[in-house]
Amino acid sequence: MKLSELNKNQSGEISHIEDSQVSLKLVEFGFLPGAIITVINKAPFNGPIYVSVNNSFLSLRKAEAATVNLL
Amino acid sequence: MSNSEGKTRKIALLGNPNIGKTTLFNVLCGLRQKTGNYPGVTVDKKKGTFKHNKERIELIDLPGINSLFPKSKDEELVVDYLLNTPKQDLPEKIVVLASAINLKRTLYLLDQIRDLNIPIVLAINMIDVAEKQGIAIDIHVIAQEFGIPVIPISAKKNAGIAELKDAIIKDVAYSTREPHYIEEDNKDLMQSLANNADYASYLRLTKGEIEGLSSADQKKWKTNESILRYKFLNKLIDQSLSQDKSLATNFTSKVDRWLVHPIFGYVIFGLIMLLIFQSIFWLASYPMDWIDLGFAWLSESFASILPEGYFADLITQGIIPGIGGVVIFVPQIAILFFLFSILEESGYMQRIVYLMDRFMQSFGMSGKSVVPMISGLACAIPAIMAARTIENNKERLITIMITPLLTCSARIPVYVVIIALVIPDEAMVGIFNAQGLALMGMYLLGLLLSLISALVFKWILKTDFKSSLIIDMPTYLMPDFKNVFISVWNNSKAFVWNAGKIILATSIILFVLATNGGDKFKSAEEFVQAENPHLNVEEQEVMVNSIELENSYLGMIGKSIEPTIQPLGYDWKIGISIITSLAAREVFVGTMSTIYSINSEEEMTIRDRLKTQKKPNGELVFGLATSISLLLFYAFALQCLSTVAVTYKETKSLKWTSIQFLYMTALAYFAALIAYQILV
Repeated sequence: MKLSELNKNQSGEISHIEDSQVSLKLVEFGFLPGAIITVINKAPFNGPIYVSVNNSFLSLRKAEAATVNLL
Repeated sequence: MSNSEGKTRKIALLGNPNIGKTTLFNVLCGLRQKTGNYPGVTVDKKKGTFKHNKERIELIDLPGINSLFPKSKDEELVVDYLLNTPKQDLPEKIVVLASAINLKRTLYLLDQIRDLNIPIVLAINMIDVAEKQGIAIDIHVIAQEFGIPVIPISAKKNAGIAELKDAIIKDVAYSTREPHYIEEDNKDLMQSLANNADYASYLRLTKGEIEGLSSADQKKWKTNESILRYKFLNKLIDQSLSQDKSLATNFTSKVDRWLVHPIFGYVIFGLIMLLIFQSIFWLASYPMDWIDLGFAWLSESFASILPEGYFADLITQGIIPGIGGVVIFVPQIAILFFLFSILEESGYMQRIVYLMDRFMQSFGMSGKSVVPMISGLACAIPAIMAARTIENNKERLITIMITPLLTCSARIPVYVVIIALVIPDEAMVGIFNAQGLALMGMYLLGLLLSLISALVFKWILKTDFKSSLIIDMPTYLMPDFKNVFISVWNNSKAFVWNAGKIILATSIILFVLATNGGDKFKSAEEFVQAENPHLNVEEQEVMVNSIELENSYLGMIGKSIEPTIQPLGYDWKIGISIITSLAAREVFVGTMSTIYSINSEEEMTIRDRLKTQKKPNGELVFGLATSISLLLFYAFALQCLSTVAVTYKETKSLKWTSIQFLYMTALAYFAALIAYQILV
């Protein structure tokens, strides 16, 4: 399961981040294995996804969310 | 070791974006700050000063960053500054700001900076908000773990500030700590590659400034570092932070149910924009009328006090109307910056980025381009600099290229005057003021053209790099009115000062050029008396005045460009205004009012004066066709030297700077030409 497949208000636990151009930035923003992530909102037309992780609120594009694997 | 009196301590302020860094800076320095030359958000190195216990402190406000691994231009600037090898201009201490409501994330940056071994004071902001949410932080554990002083503060409530100032000027013993950012196995490799084992060398190694690591390894090292640092921080947070979950209110999530709603989110965004335009026009009209009348009165009073002559004319017909033409737009600029800083301060700006990202991507830009574009509505200069936060080069370049097409505040003076010439004050469309709607139309036109241009650039430019967007969604906060006030004050002051200097100079030069001329100018009086002896004295005087202006040096310049601009519907007087406003478009209004005041005895407001101008054939000079043509010309032409300069500075490319100037000029000329030829 990937973060991009979660619906609004669903949560999941991060298993690992695929290597990509943004993987370092994701880790720096607290996307670490074991962290619980919740989808708060999704922008229309496959726009960015608004999530909470580690008590921070962030948003990221769908393509980036597809690199976040969940347990 | 204590500092002697009179010495200035140089301190830098650093922290993540959107956690109250500007508030703290304003609390510490008040109005004793320099934002550089340009109005706008924190984009350049901003400096301020304050005194504490007889010591002078110079505080440098660095742009907000999330990490010492630079991904955007903004972050690169800070890292380059902290790592610069001749150690120029370095602070003796860094105040790192963290946020009590997002402690782990903000301590990540501190953890990196701590390894640079520069003396640090940690200020943990929003301690009051955290307490209300049931978050308790053990300051001592954090202080001990990092080996630095830690001060809990609330910048907004002015709490803990005295303690912070004490800590800033207190010299403390400082020790390096055992690195936990690098894996044991890599330590020897680093020592042999970098010849050094400190964190600055490590950063240079992972940036590729010191050779030896493949780019895959650079990334692996950095990713490992983040994981190791979070491991350390997770342990620290467990020991130092406890939260009573029953107290946690989720105000931000509740509000966001509406503000980022797939439908209402956009409706609300649209309404906020509409509100901004209406207030620029309608709310500002009252103080503007007072200022307009005030300057007319000032000219009159000076005319009656000063002895008649050249000097009195220079003051009452040159300088006062010229300056009045700038000051009158201060209310609109102040309102604009007031509303912008509220959007910034409250945290709503990031929601706009979120909402607009998908849409902006269709035009080759990022949601982050919205922030430069919205600040471009105030001034293109800080807007182009704000594009530094965009990581992808193509998206950043497109944003820079199109931002000057958005309606900046310098265009407002021109628009307002011309719109008022064609649409009466009282006209209403439904509940809206018709002039306000016309102005909004000009804003939409600028927006439309900027998006079309973006599409063209998207199609021309190629890129190998995929773009990305990962942003913070900050907690909503009540805007701090001290910050809002300081932003309005600084920006209005910069507008009056920068535009005022140019306008004062141009109005003097214009006056001199208009009141001197060749033989025909000097003999105007004899010529009229000889040719028209049947006219009475007053009629002769009017004729002399117009012949004088036409044959003055200024008239000659205007006449020489008349053939180029005649197809656009402009006469030589408008031509002069276009030439003088090449450097800054707001000069247009000042020039117009100076030109039309010259040799006129009556004191009138600028608008009334322009409204009554007639062509030799009796038609109004500012008829519909000419007015629309002028509006289009000023909407698209890049008449702003400062923008050209800042584009060059930011792109470091003569090619793109020229392309920007040329495409906008061509757009302006042909749009005005077509409009005039159709309408006339």
